[in-house]
Order: sequence, then structure tokens, then C-alpha cells
Amino acid sequence: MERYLRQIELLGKDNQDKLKNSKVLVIGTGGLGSPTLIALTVAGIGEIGLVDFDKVEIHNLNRQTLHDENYIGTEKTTSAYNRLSSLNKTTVIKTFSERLTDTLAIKLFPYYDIIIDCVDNYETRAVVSKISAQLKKPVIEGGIEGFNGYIQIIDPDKTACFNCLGFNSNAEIVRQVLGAGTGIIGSMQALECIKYLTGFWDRSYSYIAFNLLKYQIDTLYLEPSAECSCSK
Amino acid sequence: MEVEVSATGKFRDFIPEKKKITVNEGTSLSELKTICGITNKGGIGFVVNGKMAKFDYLVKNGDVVQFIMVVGAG
Repeated sequence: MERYLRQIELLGKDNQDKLKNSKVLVIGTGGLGSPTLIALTVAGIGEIGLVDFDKVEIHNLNRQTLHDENYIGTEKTTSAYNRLSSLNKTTVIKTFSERLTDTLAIKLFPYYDIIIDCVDNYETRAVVSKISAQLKKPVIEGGIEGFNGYIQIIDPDKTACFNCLGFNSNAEIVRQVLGAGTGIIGSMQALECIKYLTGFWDRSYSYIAFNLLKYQIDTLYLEPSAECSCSK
Repeated sequence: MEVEVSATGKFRDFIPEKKKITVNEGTSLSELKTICGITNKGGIGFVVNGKMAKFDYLVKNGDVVQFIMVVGAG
């Protein structure tokens, strides 16, 4: 417990035990997934699952701090596993080197306490949204475009899900991104996860928008949409 | 009629501070977005009076509308 001394002073011993007994599934080990996974692993989460079908490419390395030049061409789950295991051997790391589909989500989600969505496309976000709503699993969603990012805390039946936001699958994903920016948003996804698991989330907000160029932060509490399947 | 509009994140480039604007009856959220000068390639969500709304919702006098960022890269 000595390694967690500083955060036990903040969270309390009972909450550190909650983290130790928690199972977190992170979808995506890229720009957002890297800082999220590092923060959760060193915080002492008991078990972390990570899902990523991709391989490390040179253009990932400006932001994806789990991976390095030695792993180019290797599955991201391999470099992520090696890095995270070296950071904290007491955290159990399980890897799933495949694309998240409905079938895989239905298989994995029931086992985990919370899902963190760190993906870069609509299709996978739609899978996470649909299956987590069906299974009533909380999700910490995140995204970034240039100097702007957002986080959404999806608490089943209480806050809006990703689908409630009425996303347009025809909209373009803007992929301009800096590692310093994904580091902030990903770390805050991990922070919101820890707050959710330990009861520090005060439920005054469920959506945070960041303009990192002007340091403007907006918070909103978004209720589920009556028209969304998550409320039915 | 009058509605209050504001924005979060990247949409603050178009609406830096909340403001009241006058629009015609029958204006949809999608049309209101254009009226406010918002041009976006990525995702946008609409919040009306604190609740999520769809792009084809017709605004009413006194509605409080927020344009919020959704999706993005990972």
C-alpha cells in the first residue's frame, strides 16, 4: 500500500480498496487510451481489459505514449500490455486484439464495472453506446478535435448516453491532434472513472467541454433523451 | 420570437458568449445553427432547456439552446 500513500491520503483506504476490487474495460489504446490506461494502472485498479485491433504505426507516436519505436508493426495490445505491466505488476491486464463488435461487447461488458471509450470512429462508439445501454453499464466517453475536447459520463438511466446526443454518422471526424491535448482529455477520462468508482463524482455534471486554446471549460448535466432507446 | 443561444468547446468560436437572437416561428435547430454561423465538419449535439433535442426540433419563444461538441478523434 506504500505506493498509494499519497492518494490514500486523498481518497481514503476504503476507496483505495474499491479501486483494487474494480474491473475497468478500455476500448482503444491510442491517443486517449494511452494516458487513460497509464493513469488507471498506476492508481491501482485491480483489473484492466484493453481492446484494440490495430498495430503501431510511426504516425501514432506523437501522442500514443503507450507505444514506442520498438513496437512499430506490432499489435498495440502487445506494447500496451508490456508497458502497463512494467508500471504496476499488481494490476491484472487482459488484452483483446480484435475490433469491438456487438458480439465481443456482449461477451466482455458484463464482466467489467465500467467502460472507457477512447476510440476514434463513429462505428465503435455506436457499438459501445448500444451494448452498454442494453446492459446498463456506465461509460466514460471522450473525444478530441484540434484544441477542443469533451468528456461524457454516462450513468445508465440517469444521464444522457452517447446515442442521446443524436450523433450524425455522416459527420466528418477531424483528426488534427496533439499529444499534449490527448494527454489532458485521456487523463481526465481516467480521473472521472476514479471519481465514479469511489463516489467522488457529485453528479452536478455529466458532460465537460474543453477549449484548450483559450482554457474555457463548460459543464452540463444532460438527462437521457425520452426518444432514445436507452430510456425505454 | 426570441431564443437564447450558447455553445461549448469548438462552437464557442461562433458563439463566444450566450446571447439572445430573434428568429421566425418554425425555425428548426438545424436552421438555427446556420443562422448562428456555425459551420462544422464534425459532430454537433443540441440541448434545449437542459434536455437533448434533435436537429429537426422547432424552437419556441424563450427556448434556451446550447450547441455542444460530440465525437472527435481518439
